[in-house]
Amino acid sequence: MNAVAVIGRIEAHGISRRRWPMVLLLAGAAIIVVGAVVAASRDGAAGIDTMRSWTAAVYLVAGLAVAATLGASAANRDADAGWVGLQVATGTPRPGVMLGRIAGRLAVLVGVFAIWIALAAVCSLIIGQGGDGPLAVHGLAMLLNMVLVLVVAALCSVALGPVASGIVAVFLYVSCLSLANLMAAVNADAIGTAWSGLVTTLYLVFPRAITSPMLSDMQYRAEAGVAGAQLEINGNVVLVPASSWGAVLWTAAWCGVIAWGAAMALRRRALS
Amino acid sequence: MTDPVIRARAIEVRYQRGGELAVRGVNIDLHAGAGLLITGDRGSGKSSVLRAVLGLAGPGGDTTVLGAPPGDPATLRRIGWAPQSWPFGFGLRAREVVDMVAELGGHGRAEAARAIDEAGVEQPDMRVESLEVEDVRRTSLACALIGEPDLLVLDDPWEFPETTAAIRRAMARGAAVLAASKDPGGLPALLGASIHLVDGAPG
Repeated sequence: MNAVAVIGRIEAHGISRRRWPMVLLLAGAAIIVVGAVVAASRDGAAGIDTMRSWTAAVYLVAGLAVAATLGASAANRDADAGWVGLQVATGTPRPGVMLGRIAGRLAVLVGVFAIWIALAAVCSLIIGQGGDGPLAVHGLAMLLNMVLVLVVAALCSVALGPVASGIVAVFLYVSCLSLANLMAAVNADAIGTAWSGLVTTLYLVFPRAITSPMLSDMQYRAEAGVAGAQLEINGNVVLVPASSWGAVLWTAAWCGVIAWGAAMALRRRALS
Repeated sequence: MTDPVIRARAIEVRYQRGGELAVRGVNIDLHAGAGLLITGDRGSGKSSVLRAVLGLAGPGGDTTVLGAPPGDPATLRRIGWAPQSWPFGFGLRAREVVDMVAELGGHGRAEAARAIDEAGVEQPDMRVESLEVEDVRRTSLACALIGEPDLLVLDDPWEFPETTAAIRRAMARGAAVLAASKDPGGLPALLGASIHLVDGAPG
């Protein structure tokens, strides 16, 4: 097994045995179950919207907490405490060590989302809403968003402390989300042309917060709750469209570039 | 005479660009089968010298380790490193930490188990955050003993009988041993040569 896979496996193993990921996983799962109970008490479309909005809130809030915490611990403290140094001293090149550490954290993030997505599907089935494919697709869209948060936090963790790294990563995600909303406003001619060039340029260059078809529809109808407030500009409700496959690929490519940047950044860091 | 295992001239370690030097002016000539102990108070730069030799903290000066610059991945595979910093690897068992070092170094789990025995780790199946401090030090020693390395680098090794035995065995088979300790005890006699550091410089 190559060194990146060995380090990824050991990191995922160690993290999954710690208490905080389990607490966040179970808290998210509990909220999904409660959402299903509430949804079961409502008829038709209202019940479906309830199940979806509660679950979407978990993917956003608990997902951000998991992703930012995982990424923010990729270097800093472990580099100062000698753990990263021990991995490097085995002869594994520093970029490989960092990629392994990120891969292990990604595995944990994917595992957490897989459990939430499966649980939401099972709950939907039990309350008679079917497997709810759109909700599962939304889960995958949010997973990609959270991968972005994780790799940004990991990059920051090479130079910053864990709290600062997590905050920067969440701030970047919120900025990408705002940019997607502003781009929707530009497309709807809801903001002045003076800003449209800047917004379009930034939107095209930076990673894009991914919006699923389900969230786009619920946000427009003001039914998304915590997961996405209705976008209203100058009294007009603006539709934030679902992301294209191009946007998905663009953001995935950015995630790869940022992870590579984090791997390269570790080359210059002093280790204990 | 063969080339030294470590040849260092005027080692310098600076942790932050523009910051103060943590170590300056340290020279090392360590040959195969020989030992060297670095002593000094807490914060005198002992661990920094070891990190510089391993390439973990960027060294200034002219240094070669086993004929290569510090941090060369192929050379690091010939070095056994017992770090002082701990705890780390939260959530993992001591055995899993040693297994990881063995696997990354191209050795099997049998070699990791042998190193654990040689270091005398008493509770290898306990998680690192729950280990007694003695077992923490033994686990660190076990990491260094994997694969019979050509150079042992020991940061603050505790003087267990297993430690002295491992150092004697290593030197007898021609490996060099570089150690750092604040309370050296019997290590100076065992290793033969020493450098005392004061505020990052030979004192």
